[in-house]
Amino acid sequence: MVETLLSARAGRLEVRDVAKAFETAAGATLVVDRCSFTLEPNMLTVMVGPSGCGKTTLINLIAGYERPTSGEIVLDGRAVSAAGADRLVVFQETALFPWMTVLDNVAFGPLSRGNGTRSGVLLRARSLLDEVGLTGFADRYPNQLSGGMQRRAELARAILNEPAVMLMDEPFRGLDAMTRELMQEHYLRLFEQRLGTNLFVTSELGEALFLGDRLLVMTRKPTQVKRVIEIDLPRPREFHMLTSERFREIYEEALAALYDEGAKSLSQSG
Amino acid sequence: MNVEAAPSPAGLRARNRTRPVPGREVASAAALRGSAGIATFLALWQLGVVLHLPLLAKIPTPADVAAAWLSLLRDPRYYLDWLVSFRRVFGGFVIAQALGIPLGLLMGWKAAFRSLTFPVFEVLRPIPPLAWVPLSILFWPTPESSITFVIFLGAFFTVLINTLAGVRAIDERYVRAAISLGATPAIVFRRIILPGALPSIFTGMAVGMGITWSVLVAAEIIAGRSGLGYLTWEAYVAGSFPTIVVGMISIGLAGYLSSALVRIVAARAMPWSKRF
Repeated sequence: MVETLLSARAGRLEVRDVAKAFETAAGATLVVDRCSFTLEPNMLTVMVGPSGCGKTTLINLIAGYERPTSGEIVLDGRAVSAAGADRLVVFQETALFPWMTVLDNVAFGPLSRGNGTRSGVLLRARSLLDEVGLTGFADRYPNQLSGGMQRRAELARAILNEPAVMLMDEPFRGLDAMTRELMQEHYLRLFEQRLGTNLFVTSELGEALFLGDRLLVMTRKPTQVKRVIEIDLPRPREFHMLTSERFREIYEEALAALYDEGAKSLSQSG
Repeated sequence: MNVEAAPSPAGLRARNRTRPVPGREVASAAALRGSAGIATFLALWQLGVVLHLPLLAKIPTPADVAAAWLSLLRDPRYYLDWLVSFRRVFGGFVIAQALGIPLGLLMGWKAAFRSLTFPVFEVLRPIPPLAWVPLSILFWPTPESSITFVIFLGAFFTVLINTLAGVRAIDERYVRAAISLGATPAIVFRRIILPGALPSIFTGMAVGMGITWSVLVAAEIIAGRSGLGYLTWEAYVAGSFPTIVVGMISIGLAGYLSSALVRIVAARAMPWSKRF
């Protein structure tokens, strides 16, 4: 039973030798080059890299919003050719639809796809809203919610849609430190209960190591994977692990790789 | 103002919103100030006429205008003029929305259709509606239909351009999010494009409504035999100055009521928006 459930949404995603170039006034700019990595099912892969290195472009490629210039992206044996409900992006800024209530936002995916009865979907949406602490906010509009509440509503919307691959593009950026910690906890709890394939892009190394199972350190533009570091901290993750010896070791290893890239991109632009 | 001691339900609601809802106290204070403004305006007008200030010497006083208005209120033709003008404005306005909104949505959504049609509209748009009057009198069988046509033109381009701009201003994120959530193109259109463009569509309607009234008056003077614009013109020909002013104020009121109607519809259609 569990096995069939998992294989139905296996979600093994391979990025194979992908390159992406954009045409600009100054000619073609290579943003991603010879980039290969695999997102494993039931694993939270985190990605860090110098800012502007092409992480968002990678997300857009995996989501299918853009096509790679060369190479391919393969999900469970099939090449990704367009955006679809099997891959879902949680964007940097909120993408809740301002003209729908929180409940309608959360239920939008399953209702659009005719996935279950309306009352059944709404029931599941409400219980997910309870789970992320938004009980009583179902009939509000997004602009009546705080930034942290909007993010949680968006998490609920993403989870109800049950994508094979969840793509988180710096989703907690711009939140204040307290809210950010709260969001990390919410996200961790949701992931540890449901698992699935997750890619979490962030510019905060501490956040990345606290959340993830595997860290991809990216090079500067044109980006590719520079280092893969396994984060062998136990689950469920707790905040006290942030001060453990093992955390510090991994942090230093990752920082060295990241610093190396940062220094290169500084000398390149300077 | 003891708001803090006893929060009203509205006050409680307001606290949970990012943009506060104005309380009833604020609304009534605004109404009071508005009435004071109108009273001051009337007083200055009366004073200017009595003191024979330049330009104002030949203008009827507010009292003369009120007297003329009272006698008009006993004349059934005055109500008919209101009715006729409203029918013309709303006829042209509704046709303009019925054609302009779908066309604008389609132009905003489909780039190929936009590049095909946009140049035509861009050349036709700057032609003032009144420049169409001679042609439309020749074209249309009755004066009534030519007046409606000119009014239609006044609102059509405004709503078309605003709808088009509204669709194009929709953040790409919303469309992408909807597709990733499994929405088909038809659902994206109905639940993302249409509501996303609504604020801009209503802006176009509000502006277009203002234009229709200014076009109406001129069209009635040129081609009409009834209506508020014609009433004003007829009063001028007959040399009845107070009635001219009554006609003008009536047009102002009619325009205000029409815009208020657009705002009410907008607020109903967009409960998430505080713009209208």
